[in-house]
Amino acid sequence: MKNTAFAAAKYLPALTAMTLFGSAFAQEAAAGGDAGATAAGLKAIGAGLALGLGAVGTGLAQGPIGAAAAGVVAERPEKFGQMAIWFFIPETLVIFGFVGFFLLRG
Amino acid sequence: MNNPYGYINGRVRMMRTALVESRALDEAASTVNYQEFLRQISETPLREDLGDATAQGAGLGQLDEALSRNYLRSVAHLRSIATGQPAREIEALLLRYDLQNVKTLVRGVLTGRQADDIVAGLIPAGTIPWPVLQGAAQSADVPSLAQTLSVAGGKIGQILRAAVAGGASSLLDLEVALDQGYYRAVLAGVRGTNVRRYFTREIDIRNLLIARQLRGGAPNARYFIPGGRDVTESDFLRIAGGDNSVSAQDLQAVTEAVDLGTAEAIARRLLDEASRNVAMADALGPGVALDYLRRKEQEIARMRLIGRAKYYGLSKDELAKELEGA
Repeated sequence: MKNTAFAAAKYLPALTAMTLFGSAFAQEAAAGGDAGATAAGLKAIGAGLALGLGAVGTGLAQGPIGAAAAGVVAERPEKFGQMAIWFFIPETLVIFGFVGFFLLRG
Repeated sequence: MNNPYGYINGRVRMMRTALVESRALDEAASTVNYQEFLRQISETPLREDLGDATAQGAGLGQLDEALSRNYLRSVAHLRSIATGQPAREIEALLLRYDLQNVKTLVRGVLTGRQADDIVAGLIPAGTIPWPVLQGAAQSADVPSLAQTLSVAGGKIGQILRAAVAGGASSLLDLEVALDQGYYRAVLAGVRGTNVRRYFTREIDIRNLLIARQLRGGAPNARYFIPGGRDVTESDFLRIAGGDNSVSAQDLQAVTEAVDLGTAEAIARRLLDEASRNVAMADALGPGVALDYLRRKEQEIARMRLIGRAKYYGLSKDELAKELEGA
């Protein structure tokens, strides 16, 4: 139970960001009062989901890679560059999320 | 999700890359004399610990000390990087050296060897402090050895004391009692499925070797070690009675080997294979550490053999035969 709560807490910042982005843009769209308000609201929620889920995915992937990379660098500091590359590869997930976010906002 | 073995295994994998490569071992085995052998191993990661072994007039004693130092440093390093549950699991893996050391002590005391000779055969690893092992080597008989080890001899020391209190007196009785207690303790201490699978395989192989040892006498179920997967108690009694068939095909070679020495060499090969498999399958568990310890043990054992062969001028064929059995 404690572990589940702890695991959920780890993703809290990403989920909060996702919710805030979504609701902020949805409110902005709704405030316009035009006929496409619902569609704009849904697009805003989609944009928030794209960014937020990309960030969660990156976090999930970087956790074990980071732990292993820290272990490798502790033994062989000269491997830092190689490990950094492996560590940054999951960042592509959040970049794809950003792309989705801007496409939906555009 | 928050698995501490991600970090630990990253370090252990890097430690594995510092082991002497098989190419370097082959080169050391093909050197022309002892001096050339020393020069060759000075170019491997062992060089940091060689020290006096390469000095003028140094002999096998200094080489053994250097190799032991290297081994102890690796084990101590492995212990230092784990905390919490992984530390307890790694301690459980290190019980193997306690078992080997206590068996060496029992054998030495039973056969009346000198304390110095017994200490020379001990492995400087495990959880029993070195001064305790050195003190235990001075024991006059097995009951006093058990008494000494029961205080600071960890789990294996307590197992020996219980075995002696239970009336075990022959070497086989004591060794099997130690094996039974050791496997019971290890299976209780490790939680990873893959590592458990490795130990059940080890128990099967140990049972087969004991059954082969018992051939020619009256088969007795009290020598059976419980906890295996493929060799049951009835299989054990059948094999001890002279039958060679085993349900697992790959274990057949152990029962069919021409002599006990060949059977032990086959058993070692099977266990090497099993430990490599567990290291690959157990990326986030203690399997990687288990495999590392086994590889390190082999590296040191092979270096000792090659060193002796070069020191005494053994031929290449004789050395190759020795290495095959190691």
